[in-house]
Amino acid sequence: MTAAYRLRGVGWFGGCVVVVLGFYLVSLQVAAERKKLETVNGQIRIAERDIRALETEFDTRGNLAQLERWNGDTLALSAPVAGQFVTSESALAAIDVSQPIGGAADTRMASLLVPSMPVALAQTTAQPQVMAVAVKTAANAALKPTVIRASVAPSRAAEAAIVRALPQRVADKLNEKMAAVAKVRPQAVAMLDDKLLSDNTLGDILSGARAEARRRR
Amino acid sequence: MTVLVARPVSERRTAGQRHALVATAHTRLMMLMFLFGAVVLLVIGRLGMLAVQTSMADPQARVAAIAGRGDIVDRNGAPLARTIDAWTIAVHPKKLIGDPTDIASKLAALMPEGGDQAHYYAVLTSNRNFAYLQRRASPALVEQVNAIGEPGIVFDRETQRLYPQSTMASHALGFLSTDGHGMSGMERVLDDRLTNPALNGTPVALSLDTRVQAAMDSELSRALNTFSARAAAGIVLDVHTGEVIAMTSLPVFNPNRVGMAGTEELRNSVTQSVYELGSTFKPIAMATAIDTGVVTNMARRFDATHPLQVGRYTIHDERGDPKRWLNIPETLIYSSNVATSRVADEVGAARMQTMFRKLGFDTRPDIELREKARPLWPKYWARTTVMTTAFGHGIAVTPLHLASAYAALVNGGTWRPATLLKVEPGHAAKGRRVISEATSARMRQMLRLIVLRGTGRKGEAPGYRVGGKTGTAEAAVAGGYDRSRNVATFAAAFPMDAPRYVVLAMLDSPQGTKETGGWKTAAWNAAPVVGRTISRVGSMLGVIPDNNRDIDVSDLTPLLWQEPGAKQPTGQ
Repeated sequence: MTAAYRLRGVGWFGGCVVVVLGFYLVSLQVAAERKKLETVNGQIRIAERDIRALETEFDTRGNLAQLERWNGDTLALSAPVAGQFVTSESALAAIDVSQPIGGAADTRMASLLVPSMPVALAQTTAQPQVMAVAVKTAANAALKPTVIRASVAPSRAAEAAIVRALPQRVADKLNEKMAAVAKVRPQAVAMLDDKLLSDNTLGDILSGARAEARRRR
Repeated sequence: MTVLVARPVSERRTAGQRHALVATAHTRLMMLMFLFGAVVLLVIGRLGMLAVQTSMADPQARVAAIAGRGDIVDRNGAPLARTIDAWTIAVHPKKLIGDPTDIASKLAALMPEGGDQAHYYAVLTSNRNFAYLQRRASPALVEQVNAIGEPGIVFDRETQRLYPQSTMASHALGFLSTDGHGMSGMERVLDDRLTNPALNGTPVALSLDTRVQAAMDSELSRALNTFSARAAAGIVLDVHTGEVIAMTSLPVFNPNRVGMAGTEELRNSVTQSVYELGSTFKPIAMATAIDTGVVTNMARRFDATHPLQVGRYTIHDERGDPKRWLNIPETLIYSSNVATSRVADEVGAARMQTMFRKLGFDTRPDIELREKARPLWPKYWARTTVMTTAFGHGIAVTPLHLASAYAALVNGGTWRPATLLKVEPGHAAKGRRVISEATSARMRQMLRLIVLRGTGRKGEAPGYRVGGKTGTAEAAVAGGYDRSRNVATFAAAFPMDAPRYVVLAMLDSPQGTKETGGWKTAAWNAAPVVGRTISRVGSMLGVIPDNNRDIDVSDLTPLLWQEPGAKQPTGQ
């Protein structure tokens, strides 16, 4: 009887220990989780700071003065002129985009970049076959009534893309002019937006996505 | 041998004694327990301290936790000023171990922009405890300097202000002092806002547009170089809100390295320099005449056949200008000083002054910036003063004054203060009425005619319906005018059928070149800057160029008569 009585004491004690330990374990678990959360938050902060630093570096290396220098050296792109904007849907539909490249009225795509000077292109206004479209992002509401939106692969820096058709004569003249300054590859440049990713890259991305989807299942 | 064994006296303690013993044992046990407890507490405390210290000691996390100065972005969110944490390279000259000559030559090779070997040697052997070698170092440079292996050279991270666009819009942005407070520009104006921990998480949006600013910068600096001008100023202003879309002042300074700039570079020509802006004032005088009812008929002619003699003062026209009676549009197109003076004479001093005051020409320009100059307002308004101020002589204002005035002329007659902060749609300042709607419409027609037929033809941007006025004034120097120097200005607005932006370019002391045939008037240097800037940025600002659209000037064109075979106006 006495033994049992004593054991009951031990039992109580043990029970208390288990309960207290249980509580303590819960609080320990919570503390550990909290600590982990803090670590993750810290990592996020560091990552954000790194992103910011990289962004800033990108902006600094590609600042507008530098972009203009590059444009002057190699790209030789100029601002769109009045003839390159279409005012109605029918005018947009009248543009023949299936012309072979290098043909008489071939339509090319290019990003809108600021030129060093609106050179030879000023003459294109007089040419009737010059047709182009300016596609602006929705940001500019003022453009809504006159510009038809089309989804052209948008690039981050250039908000507008122009479909430009150069008459061969003007294009040749332009080429001659630029060749004296630097090696120009208008074709390569103009095709930049045509396809941003090569077939290989696209294939890689697709197969990667498929593999990931399979793993999830 | 007998052994005598004595039975020991039984040591039976009394109950009291036993009690005392037990009590001692208890106290000892208690003390031991306390000791254990204390040790455990000590250990726990130490652990806690370590935990706190390690979390604080992580240098990266610490830097990330410090909230820096808030960002400044443009109206589209492109960063103009950011706070980043950069590496600093410093040296403790007294703790140096290696050979200073050797280290100095290596440092000079790695950081040539900081100084030559002699400079670094002087720093390394100086008696100071600490000296910065480079306050904004790239990680690559830090690695290279670290490879020298000198323990006296230390690296640390420090928050720093970076202007990604370097010299662009530097006068509008300003720069920071070494202790991190704004010294000029918007950094100074917004200092409290940017350093307030509650607000510096969200960037401040300025009214500037980096793309427009870049175009203005490049066109203006090209003109500055071509015409070897001393200084230049350029503004793009939204006529309906007073927002400054671009503000350029040349020569520029780099806010990332302010130490290299002198006072000439630091001065903001747009708001801090006053000029006599010449013929660009003529549209203001004409608007006053039309608005006050002095001139009711555009066909009314004024005598410009001979120079005007008023007291000791003679008012001339340019040699090539037509010497005949000119009507109102012709006066502006040929920029005739004589005819303008006659108009101003009829307007009179009181009404002219009222107009200038309404346009704010008697006070510092209305903008947030603190770097503002007071205009030179004539002390005594004689008859000649009224005449000369009508064509922009005898009164000196900043280019920003003129841009705001032109905005009021073309936007329907409401003058608004300029602002460098982005204005949400519908929240534009109310402004004050300067001229009537009808006068404004007339001014739009006439400004357009100046570009179509007059001195501003080189300021045309095809399809953008530009209208504006050239102005060339002899530069005012102490006690008179310097005939060899002039201030060429072109103030324009576009598109004239529904004006949205005022674009102004000003060149101080441009020289003639072979291409301009030796001319140094605004028609040859300032006007092309505006024309090219507009054709570059017009479509970005949402104005679609259209060759089939223009403001209706048909009621004024019959009034224009050109002498057969006459030369085109050369501008003034």
